[in-house]
Amino acid sequence: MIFAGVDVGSMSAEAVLLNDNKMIASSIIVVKPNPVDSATTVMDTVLQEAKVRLEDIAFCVSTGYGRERIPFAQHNISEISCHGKGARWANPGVRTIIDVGGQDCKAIRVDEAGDLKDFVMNDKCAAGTGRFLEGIAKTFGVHVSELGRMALEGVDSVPISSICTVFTQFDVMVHLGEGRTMQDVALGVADTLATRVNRLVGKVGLEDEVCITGGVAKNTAVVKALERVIGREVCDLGIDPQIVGALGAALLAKERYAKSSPEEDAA
Amino acid sequence: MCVKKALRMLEDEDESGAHSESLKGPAMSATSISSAERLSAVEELTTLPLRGENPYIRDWKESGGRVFGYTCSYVPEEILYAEGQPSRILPIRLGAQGTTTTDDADIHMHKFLCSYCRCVMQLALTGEYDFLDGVVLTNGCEHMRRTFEIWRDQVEPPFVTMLSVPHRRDGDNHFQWYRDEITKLTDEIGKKYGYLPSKESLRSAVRTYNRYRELMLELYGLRSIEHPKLTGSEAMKITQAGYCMPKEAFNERLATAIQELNERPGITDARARLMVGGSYIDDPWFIDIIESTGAVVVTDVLCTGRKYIEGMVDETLEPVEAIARRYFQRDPSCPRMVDGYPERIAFTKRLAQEAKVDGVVFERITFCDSHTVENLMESEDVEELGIPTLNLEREYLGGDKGRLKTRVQAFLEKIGK
Repeated sequence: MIFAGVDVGSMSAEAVLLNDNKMIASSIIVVKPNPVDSATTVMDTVLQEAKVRLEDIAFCVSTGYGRERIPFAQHNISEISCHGKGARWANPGVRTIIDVGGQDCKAIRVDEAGDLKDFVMNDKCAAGTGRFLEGIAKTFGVHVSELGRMALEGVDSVPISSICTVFTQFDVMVHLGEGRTMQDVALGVADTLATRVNRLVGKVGLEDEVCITGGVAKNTAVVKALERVIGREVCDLGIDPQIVGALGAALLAKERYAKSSPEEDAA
Repeated sequence: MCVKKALRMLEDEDESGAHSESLKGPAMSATSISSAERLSAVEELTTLPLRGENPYIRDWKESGGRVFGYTCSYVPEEILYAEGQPSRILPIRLGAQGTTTTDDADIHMHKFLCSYCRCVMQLALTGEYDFLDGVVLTNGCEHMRRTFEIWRDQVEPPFVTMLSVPHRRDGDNHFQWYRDEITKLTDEIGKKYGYLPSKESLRSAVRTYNRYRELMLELYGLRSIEHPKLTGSEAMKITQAGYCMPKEAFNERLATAIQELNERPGITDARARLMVGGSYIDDPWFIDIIESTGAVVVTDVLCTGRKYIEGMVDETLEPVEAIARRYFQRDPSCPRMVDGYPERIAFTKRLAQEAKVDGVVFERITFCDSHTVENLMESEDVEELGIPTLNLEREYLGGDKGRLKTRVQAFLEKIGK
């Protein structure tokens, strides 16, 4: 039986298909202005990949900021629950999840079933999110995916004091103007982001295995900086950290389906 | 009439209230609000137009009454309402519902000031509050003090004053300070308009306001029952109507509305029962976001809601003394008071338990001094009862819906609702 999860975020959209408990397809796209277009496009991609039709999907859950308007989803669940569920499935030892997405970041704690126990989200500010890193990458004239590698080459981290995404870019320009290398500045940026995220982790509390999800988890320098500030190693999920939300949505679709039609579940 | 004469009249006056002249207050004409009468009381109260468009305010003005605006629940309304009773002054609580920008206010006010204050100032600066005859503000918080100064200096209303409320309530001196502030307010109004409230007019205002509080408590009673008769959003709209209507007229409509609500079927499919506490809210958008998840806000500990109606004025005491006591010494107090936390948290806990809430949402307006620490303290203490809490930060202006809804939805998922 096929279940689907679609996560329409602020910067990217992801879809995951599950066949019972096995992930059979996943896809990531850059979002379009309209969440429905994003959802439809990314869903088409996974359907093609898995060679199944939309009608074959038993239940679909949507998540992410565009979650309420997805026509083919039967239910929507917040991305917080989805990230928890997805991460716990990928690595059963995980109890604490740090999700750094395009526009917000959150620290999540789950129980042994992957159900939400507690969460903290950043308040209305893009500092410490993917959007923040994109802004810095733009200032450097590089793609955001290169930022992590660049930071790893940094020797002497530049302290970035500003807390605002926009002002940080000015700050960065000043440091570059003073002759600091882009590598050192990138390292400083990774450290700043880690420090900000750590405040959320401090509030929610660390428990057992910790993992990082969301697009920013692909930035190795940020992951390393986070490990430094939280004083603990971050565990590997074995899957692309960016699809964890969509995966969680698909898993919750399965749970939801089982709850709504117990007789079929028994069969 | 000169002030001296007015003061003499007050002194001379006997308890029977011989102010026959001032008894001709602006009676509400039935014709001017006839359009509203076609609606049920609930419909009327939940859709009452705001500010200058409000038919009750318009009628009051047209029949010669004055309208005073205030913001803080430490402004003793009965004192204003009693001036030349039946009232010539209608006190209305200043909201800024529907404000979309603070461009003009931001010229005078820093972005670090509370967005409620900036929104109210925006309306004042752009003339929406030009119908006001007077404004009475308090030193409730620093943001409110700035609001007073800018209102006074930039808007220059016909009458503006600040009631200085002490930050502690213990000892006789603090109470005397507040009592003196009331005298000062009465004197200022007396100087400006040439009359002072008679004891009988004060007593009558007290009765009206006490009746108002009783009825509002009854309305709250319809929310906290097993199957609430109304949503939190509706309740907030009704409360808002009460802020902008003469209390006599409002009491009458509210009594009818309560009857209507009683005949309604209750809400049986609430996803969760929630309580809201924290900073000033008078715009239902925030409650609407919470309720758009399927939850129902069944009670609150807001100074614009349940806290506003808590505590009666003692009708057996000398009226000014009794009014001062009720406003200054009431519990739960505002968190701007240095003392009173034990009473505030006890009140929050009691209401949460009485209304059998599944969770409490504490919200604060960004930069709100009073509620930033208070919310965290209350939140921790409420959780000790096993009641989960959610802390949110918001702006006064609507918007930011997605961010807030995600948090509320995740909170409901967390508590298994």
